Amino acid sequence: MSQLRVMHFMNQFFAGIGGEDKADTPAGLIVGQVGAGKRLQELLGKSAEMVVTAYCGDDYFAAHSRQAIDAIRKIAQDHKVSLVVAGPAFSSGRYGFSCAQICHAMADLPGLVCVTAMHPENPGLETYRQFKDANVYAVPTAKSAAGMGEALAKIARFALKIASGSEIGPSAEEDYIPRGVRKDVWMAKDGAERAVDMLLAKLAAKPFLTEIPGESPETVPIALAIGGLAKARIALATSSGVIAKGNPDNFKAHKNVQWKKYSIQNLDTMKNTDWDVLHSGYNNIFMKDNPNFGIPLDASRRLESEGAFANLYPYFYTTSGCNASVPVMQQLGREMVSDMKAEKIDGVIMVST
Amino acid sequence: MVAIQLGASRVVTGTKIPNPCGDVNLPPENDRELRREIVKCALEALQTNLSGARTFVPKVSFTSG
Repeated sequence: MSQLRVMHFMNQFFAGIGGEDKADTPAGLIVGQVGAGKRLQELLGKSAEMVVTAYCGDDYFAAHSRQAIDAIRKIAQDHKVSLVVAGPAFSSGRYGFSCAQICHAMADLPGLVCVTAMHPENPGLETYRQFKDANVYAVPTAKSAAGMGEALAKIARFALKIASGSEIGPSAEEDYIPRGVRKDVWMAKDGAERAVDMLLAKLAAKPFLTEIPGESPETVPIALAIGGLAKARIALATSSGVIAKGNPDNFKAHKNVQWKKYSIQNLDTMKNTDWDVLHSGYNNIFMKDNPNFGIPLDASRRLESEGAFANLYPYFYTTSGCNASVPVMQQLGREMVSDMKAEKIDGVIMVST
Repeated sequence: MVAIQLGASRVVTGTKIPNPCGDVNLPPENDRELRREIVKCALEALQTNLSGARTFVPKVSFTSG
């Protein structure tokens, strides 16, 4: 068994540089272990040596992630490490994000394994689930640093398994957060037999484990009806990718990650000379020719003037919803709704394609 | 169908994926009328209290989709 050389990545706080006032600290290194790293080294014993600690301020990473990643990648290469430990980040969003980004950026280095640790609801895990890097693992932790001891024990157990050279099994057996990776393995029984076994177990109300867990959509509570439309402010929204002419906000036609609102004040219809359409999930020709298909402004203005509702909100909300990641879109939806609430919008007509 | 599976509770039937609020096969005047009916139907949906998800169908005839 060869000794693993380990780089530990932490944010400015856990690396002992300072709190929020030091969050703009650029990436740097400390030889050996710092803070929680010392305890981790004890747990790892002789099978691994934590040779270097890399750190970066949370805000610096958010604003200059490219530079930070390059610097930290170089530290890992200069110190010839074969294991990167990032975190634990618990439920800290910026820290979780940097841990996951750094692990992803290292994933192409040959022979390197990355272990990060954070709470399962940390938004940093979005990167982890999206890239499904074969040599990056995230272990679940508690929400706060009160769970440090347990988190370090889990990281150490994982690191020792890697040091021993044995293969890492499925997430359910090894206690890491599933990445959604499916591996081909030989089974004693073929698929038909396993399916019948599962069915028999289900009929007998016995426990069984599905091989393809379904994604269960979020349960959305049904909003109450609008009391009186006569007093209601209505907004238009769309996921069809109707955007400002020339795409000044750099929307992406697929895997888009943002939303915008554009002014329709003093406009009575959506003219094709004013708007573009960016969405690679359907043929955009008709929508480009008549953006009222996605933002029915002409009809809404007529109904507004007829008194069908009090007034039309002077902006429309838009995103491009093609091939997008569900958690990202859920986040965009939450942001849009919070803006709509702040703008005292009573009802929204959302056109999807 | 997809909208309801994904958790939307007030769903209005549109024309077609590339032109949900309108119909490219109709003359402009009729297309505008159709769009008005779809938006009217959406306003109707916003005023309806529901105990479960429901699809609202506008009072129009689609030429396609």
